[in-house]
Amino acid sequence: MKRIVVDAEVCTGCGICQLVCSVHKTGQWHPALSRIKIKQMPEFGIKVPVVCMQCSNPPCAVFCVMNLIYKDPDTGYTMRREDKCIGCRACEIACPFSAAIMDPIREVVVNCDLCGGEPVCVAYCPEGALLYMDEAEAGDKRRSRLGLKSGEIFPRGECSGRGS
Amino acid sequence: MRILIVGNGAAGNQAAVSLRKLDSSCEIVMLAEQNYPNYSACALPDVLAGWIPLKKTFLMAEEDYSRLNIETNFGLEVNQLNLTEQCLQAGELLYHYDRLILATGSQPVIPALPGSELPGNFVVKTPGDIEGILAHGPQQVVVVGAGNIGVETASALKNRGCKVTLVEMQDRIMPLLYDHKPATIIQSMLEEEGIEVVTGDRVIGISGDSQIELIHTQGQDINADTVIWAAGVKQNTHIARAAGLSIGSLGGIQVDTQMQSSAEGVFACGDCVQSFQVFTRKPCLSLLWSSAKRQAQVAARNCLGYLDKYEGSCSLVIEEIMGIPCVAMGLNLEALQGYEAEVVEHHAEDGYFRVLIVEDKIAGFQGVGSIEGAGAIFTMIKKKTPISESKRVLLNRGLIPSMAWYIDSRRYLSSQY
Ligand SMILES: Cc1cc2nc3c(=O)[nH]c(=O)nc-3n(C[C@H](O)[C@H](O)[C@H](O)COP(=O)(O)OP(=O)(O)OC[C@H]3O[C@@H](n4cnc5c(N)ncnc54)[C@H](O)[C@@H]3O)c2cc1C
Repeated sequence: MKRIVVDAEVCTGCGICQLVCSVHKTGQWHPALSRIKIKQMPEFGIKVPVVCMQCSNPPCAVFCVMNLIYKDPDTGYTMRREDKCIGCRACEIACPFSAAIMDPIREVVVNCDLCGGEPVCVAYCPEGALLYMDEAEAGDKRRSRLGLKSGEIFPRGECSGRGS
Repeated sequence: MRILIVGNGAAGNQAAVSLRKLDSSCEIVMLAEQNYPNYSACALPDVLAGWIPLKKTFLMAEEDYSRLNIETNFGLEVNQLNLTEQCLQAGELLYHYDRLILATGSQPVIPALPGSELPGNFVVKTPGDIEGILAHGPQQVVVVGAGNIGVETASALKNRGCKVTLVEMQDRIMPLLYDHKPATIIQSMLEEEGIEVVTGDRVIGISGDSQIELIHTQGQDINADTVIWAAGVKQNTHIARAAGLSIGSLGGIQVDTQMQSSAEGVFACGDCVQSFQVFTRKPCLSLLWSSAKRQAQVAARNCLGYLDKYEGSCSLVIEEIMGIPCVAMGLNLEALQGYEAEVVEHHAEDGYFRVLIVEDKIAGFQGVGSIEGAGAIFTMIKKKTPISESKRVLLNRGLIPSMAWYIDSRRYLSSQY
């Protein structure tokens, strides 16, 4: 399955991804409404866009008290029946990446749905820091850059259950 | 293979859905006393408050069960489990199984006190309870028990315009979730909302002729027309107990990490079981929606022969009081008795939080106010990530981008880094 992969080394933190996401999804020009967020560590000059990792057994879904988060059987994307959301924010805290975002206007929590397969943030990123690619391809790319062993990358154990 | 599930709460429904996802051909039969399709008990206080309609609490409709080819027998109480015959008895009817999943849940307790049988005594558990409370037309309410359900119910009824008194027998509200200081902060928020909060006192009786008039606590008499009992729940274990399944020291059905009971092929999950806490590994009754669902996934997988293990329960409870989020996760100091816990506190304009640290690991967190990035802390609690490990990553420029989720933890752990 394809997902958004981040190449933090080339991210300049310009914030265009956040703006295009918020406009595309809410019609408003506001980074707070974006489903992709840039985390920063100024002392290292680090800027990392963080977005839903599309976990296979997503903790957000387990913690949702309205059972509205599901894996789309065709695409494998983590989707929501947003009309059922009561805005309790349990999914927001259950997500290690803080990638479930409260939309304060509609009072529902949302996550990246990859724009149905054509993510606008990826299309508009001027640096090529956001890539839309296959899981395996992404893993190889990162591991080779970092010289890491597999499993050292994300807290994937968290999300490793087979999504039953 | 024919699998029976008893109960249609969070656990029973999750078990059914997980089974179907893993196996398109097994026979899945649900039996439940309560005659509702899947609903969220957690959303019921929102209905009481008038924020959402009752129908929004329903999570599945009858067609969903038939689409998934799940047979439902709702409104049917199971009276007996026969382990040797592998069958359940409900009245005159017998149901045979190859595998069994018990998801019989729990029910709120109304203690036998003078007046507790008068009309106007309620619990909050089912859609029917909410309809009953609303039909009764409460104006002056005493909510007994200030756990999260009591607090949410009190807040909801206040929002509806009732005069509300919340009575808690312990010395603070939400004593199983929060320590003194955060509990006091939340209490003052409730008071600001207009709720009268009484701690360290207990209800000893109710008087009135044909309806509730006066509630007697040890310390005072309170005028009221309605009492809501949120003073604890009891596990529904009688069929398991009568069949001879092991019952744990805390009163839940004893299960192993695969959610199997003491009888092979009989699994149990949700509020009715006794499992273990993720940090202490000590027995616990979790009584949470998320634990019920995760345990049900594990039970379903093992039931079909796929190995899966329960990680242990880790609580996450969120309350929104006057628009301010209050979060408790993991354990509080009382639950950590016997451990040496360091308390890291932060009190600022955007809120209050405390992190409880035991032997380089986060055992609990309590926060009021801004909760941004608290997901990193919750993950560290669940994964028992050593703080020294997150620190190592955050000091290594090369590692940070691929483990960026640790960045959020700095907000809460800056004194440790
Ligand atoms: C008001 C309220 C608010 C809550 N808020 C939260 C929250 O914010 N977060 C959170 O995590 N949790 C919350 N909870 C707790 C959560 O709802 C429960 O942990 C969860 O519903 C447990 O599900 P369960 O399936 O194990 O049990 P239950 O929902 O109790 O279901 C048990 C089922 O078993 C059936 N049954 C029992 N005995 C028999 C029998 N002999 N024969 C046939 N059927 C039988 C019952 O009819 C029922 O269908 C809340 C609970 C309440 C009541």
